[in-house]
Amino acid sequence: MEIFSLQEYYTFTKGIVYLLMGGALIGVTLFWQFLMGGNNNDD
Amino acid sequence: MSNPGNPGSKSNLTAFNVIAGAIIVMGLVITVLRFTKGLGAVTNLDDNNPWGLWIGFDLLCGVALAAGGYTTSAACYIFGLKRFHSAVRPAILTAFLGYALVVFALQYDLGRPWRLPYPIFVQQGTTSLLFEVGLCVMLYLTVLFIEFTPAMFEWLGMKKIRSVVVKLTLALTIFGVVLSTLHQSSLGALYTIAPSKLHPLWYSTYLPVFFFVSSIAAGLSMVIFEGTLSHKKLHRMMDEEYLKHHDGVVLGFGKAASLVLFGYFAIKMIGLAYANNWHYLTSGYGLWFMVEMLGFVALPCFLYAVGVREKNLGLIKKAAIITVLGIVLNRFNVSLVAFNYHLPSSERYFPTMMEIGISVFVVTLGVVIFRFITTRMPIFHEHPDYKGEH
Amino acid sequence: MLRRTFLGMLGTACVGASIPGVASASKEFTGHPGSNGVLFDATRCIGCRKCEEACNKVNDLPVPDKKYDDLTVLDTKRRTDAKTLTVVNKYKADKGPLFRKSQCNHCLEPACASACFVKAFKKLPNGAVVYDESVCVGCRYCMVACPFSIPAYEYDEPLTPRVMKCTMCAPRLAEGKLPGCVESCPKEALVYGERDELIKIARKRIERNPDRYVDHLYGEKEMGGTSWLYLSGVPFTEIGMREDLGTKSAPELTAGALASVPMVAGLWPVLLGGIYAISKRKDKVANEEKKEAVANAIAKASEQAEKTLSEALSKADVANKRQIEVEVKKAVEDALTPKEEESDENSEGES
Repeated sequence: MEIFSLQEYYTFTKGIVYLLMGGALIGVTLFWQFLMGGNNNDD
Repeated sequence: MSNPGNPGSKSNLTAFNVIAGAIIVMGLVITVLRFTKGLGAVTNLDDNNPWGLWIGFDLLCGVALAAGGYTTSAACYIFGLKRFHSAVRPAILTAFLGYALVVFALQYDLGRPWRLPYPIFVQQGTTSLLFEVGLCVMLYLTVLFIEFTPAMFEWLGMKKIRSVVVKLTLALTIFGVVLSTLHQSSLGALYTIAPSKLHPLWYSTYLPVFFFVSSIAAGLSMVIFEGTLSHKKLHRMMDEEYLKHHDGVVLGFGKAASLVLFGYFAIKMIGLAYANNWHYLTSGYGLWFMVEMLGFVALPCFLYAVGVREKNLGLIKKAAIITVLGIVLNRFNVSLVAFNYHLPSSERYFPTMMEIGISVFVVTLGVVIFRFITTRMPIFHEHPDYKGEH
Repeated sequence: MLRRTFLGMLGTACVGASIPGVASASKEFTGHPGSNGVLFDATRCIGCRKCEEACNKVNDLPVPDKKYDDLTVLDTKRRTDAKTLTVVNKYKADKGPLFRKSQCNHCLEPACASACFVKAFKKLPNGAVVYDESVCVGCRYCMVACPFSIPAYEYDEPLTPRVMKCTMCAPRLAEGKLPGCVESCPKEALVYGERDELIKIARKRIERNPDRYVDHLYGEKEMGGTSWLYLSGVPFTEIGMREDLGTKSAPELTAGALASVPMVAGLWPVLLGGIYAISKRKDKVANEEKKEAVANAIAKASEQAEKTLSEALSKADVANKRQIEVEVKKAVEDALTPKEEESDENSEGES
């Protein structure tokens, strides 16, 4: 896919960014569990 | 006007029910007109003014005034202000109803309403800020619904599901704040694409920030305002817990709203300076801008502060009403008054009675459903089985 | 794996990632090479409305009440609407009436396409911006976004309204024909061709007739450039065209707002989670302090109690001892006295 306009370029990059945003939101939930879990659950 | 559309009103023939019934009948009539004759027959929208009252009020104001949900739940569950706990449920319910009605009202405005899921499921226009708004509103409506379900499960006595949902509170709250930040700001950002149509005093590259910050003030003020209304009309549904904390909630939220309004005023001025728009202040639009900024931002900010200092609940409640009106004024200014400012007055937009009718109909629906739910489910009181679980 | 091979592979991966045409943000986009456009010359337009008629015909639009040779229509200002994709307006000027045709300008970076949340608008390689009604939701954000106020809407359609705008006759272009309006223009006020060529032609016209034209090719830069270009003998504002639109394209205008969206999504959970953890820890510390304080108080109290108890005990001890002594003495005394009596009795009985 060749890109000729800023509009096409943004459509492409924003598409990926939206997917990453979803991934980040799910990821942070899991990571929170990981961070707050474990044995040293003091703080 | 008679009251044919209100079933079961034999014993409930109160003034409220009669008026609400009449408005609902009127709304249904306009609904039929809208979907048989088209937007042209019902609205004053035209090619120059594609967005009217249904976007300016139902969508922009509706979403801003439903911000109480995320502000209250964030205050209670994230910032750890447990004393606001009694205010969370009414706020969540209002927010959920608010958003549900925003989506409902949107069905009137959209050309082909059944295609509303298209941007998410069929073809994603990711460069559009409206895509962002749509995605977030859809997700947030889901979050709000889940946040609201514990009250429903308590009412229905479904303890197991309730405990599962309650465990998700923190995640849901954070998710809700993220989504709210995004779509509240994106509603403002919708207009960043049209600098040539929006008056420079209201157009700013900071529009998303303005909308987000003012939504916090709107949310806090709405919680105070609704609390006052509910206090008068639904007092019998409130338990000691709610009543004991009510004044504390009003004081705390008043203080927060005052501070947020101060910040909002400051960034609006920074916006003026950033775009070097000072010279517009002397024009007619400038005067109107000053009315908005001084009368509906600076004034309630000050009234809130005085009210909090003197523990004057009456004054705080007045400030809340002014703030709510100010937010409505701001959204109207951006979407209707200052939009298309360059056009001659003959080409400007003013809503028809039927457009206003639908907006009133939607608000009435909201109040009726709110009453229905709060008189049945544990919203203003804790369910006896789950007392003291925070 | 050898380190060199790994680095080599990494290198190829990086280069590979940048190869397939997906340019970096620093690249300037200039649109599809060889895309077409139309040059409108307001100094040539005589306001005959032939273009309007052709447009109406080739697009199968409903025939208007007033015929196209009725030029009184020009006396009122009109804009494009759902049944008219192009209009010619008359403007009064010192030199006599001037005419200007308006229709979709087919932006290089269309605001409508940027605004549409279902990607219903598309810029074709041939330059035309076309609309796909099969996905349109009817939100009309495109109409809000368009700086030229071109898209119109079928407000009278209750359930299947479409956004209506000039398509540069994309179907005709596909057949190798000219756009309807261009073909019908009797004065060659409209020229269809490659946009880059049109710019050269326009520049030449300005150069050759500096008195006839203002030195401004409208559409070359406006809103990031449009495929439709305009030449005029008077400043463009005098023929109803806004000169305050700027050169920033629609995607650039919203880029800032769009760019902050993922930052919020990425950082808010961290920030809010942090605040939550801090407030929870504060609660915990406060609780612990409370507990400690309570424990301290209890400890102090019990110490005190013990002290008093032991004191009481020791006091009691002393008292006890004394009492015992007294008791013992008493007992001894008691024990002694009756014996004497007894012995007395005994002696009495014996005697």
